[in-house]
Amino acid sequence: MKKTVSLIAGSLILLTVLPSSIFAYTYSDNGKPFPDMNFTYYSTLSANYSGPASAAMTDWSRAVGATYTASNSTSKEIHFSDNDYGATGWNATTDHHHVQFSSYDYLDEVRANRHYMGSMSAVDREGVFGHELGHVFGLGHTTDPWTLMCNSLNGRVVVTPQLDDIQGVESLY
Amino acid sequence: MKNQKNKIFGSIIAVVLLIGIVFIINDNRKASHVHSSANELRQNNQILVNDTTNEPSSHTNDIIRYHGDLANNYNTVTELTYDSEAIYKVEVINSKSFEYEGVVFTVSTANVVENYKGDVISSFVNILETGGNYNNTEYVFEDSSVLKSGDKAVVYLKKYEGPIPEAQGAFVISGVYQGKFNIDEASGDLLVPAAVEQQELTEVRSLIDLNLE
Ligand SMILES: [Zn+2]
Repeated sequence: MKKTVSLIAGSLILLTVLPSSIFAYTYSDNGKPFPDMNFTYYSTLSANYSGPASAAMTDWSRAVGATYTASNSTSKEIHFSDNDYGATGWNATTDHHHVQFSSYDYLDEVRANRHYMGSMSAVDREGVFGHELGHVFGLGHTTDPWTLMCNSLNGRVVVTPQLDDIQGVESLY
Repeated sequence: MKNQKNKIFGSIIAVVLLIGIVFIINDNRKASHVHSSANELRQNNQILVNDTTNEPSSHTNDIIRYHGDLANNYNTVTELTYDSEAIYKVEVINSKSFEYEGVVFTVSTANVVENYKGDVISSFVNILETGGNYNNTEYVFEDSSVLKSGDKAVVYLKKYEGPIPEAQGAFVISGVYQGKFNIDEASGDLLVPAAVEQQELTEVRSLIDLNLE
């Protein structure tokens, strides 16, 4: 009997200790912004940025089966660009636009800030683009440094999609 | 007999565990939904009603949200204080939004009401923020709306360096929005942290919490 009590007590304790967040992932912009995971993109990235952006797309393709097809400037779903915005506090941003433009329904602008990203390694750049592509899926931020959707490079310890990021995308698409 | 007892207890525990896990999962799902709808509510009345289906949205976009990867992330008041060049209580006199290389920014001119850290060269300070109202669209960085005329806030600042002409000599908020605490006069000067994900910062309610009083 004693054994049972301690077992039950033990499992109860385990329950409360068990990761208070089995899923860390969150959504942004009311969830799913794109109909599917087959994206078209247009890149105006300069040399040091296009490689890491491609690597990030490959990472997501491997992780969740997303496809990224290069497209022309008028019918793209994702536009990658880089500029020097100065010390704004962000490495990169992603924003969703809807219709209002023309033939396509959605457009996500992924913008790299050279002020910070200029001094990053290619791998860190890949991590930033991968993070932004997570936003393209509709993922929000986590505070778990072991997820790609952790909100800052200086806390994040991974540069590719992790299980939680993948689960987040898979529950949306 | 003893063996069977153990088996029964074993299965009871397994069931309890399973139920517990299911509950936690459900709870979490709910929690994240509640979280995002609360954030939505933060955006005043201009909620972007954009359903999750893939039909092209026919309504105009009132809010465009920037999701950013922060160059520096602050989780605690200590980190924020240590890394900021200036900490002021300010009252915003005017704000001007503009576009630079496709991104909407706002420069707000504010009265320095109180100086907690840093040299005040003049009684005014210019603050550059990402986002703002531009061409009838509100641009919001994560969940944080930019300062506007009449706003009072405690701000943790860093010098802006960079090419934006309107922002020469201006400061930026440390952590883009994390170092911004609006003062809500209606609630007896309670502080409203712009940070929604940083535990310690998100829980700040007063100057005492910021070690400024
Ligand atoms: Zn982000």
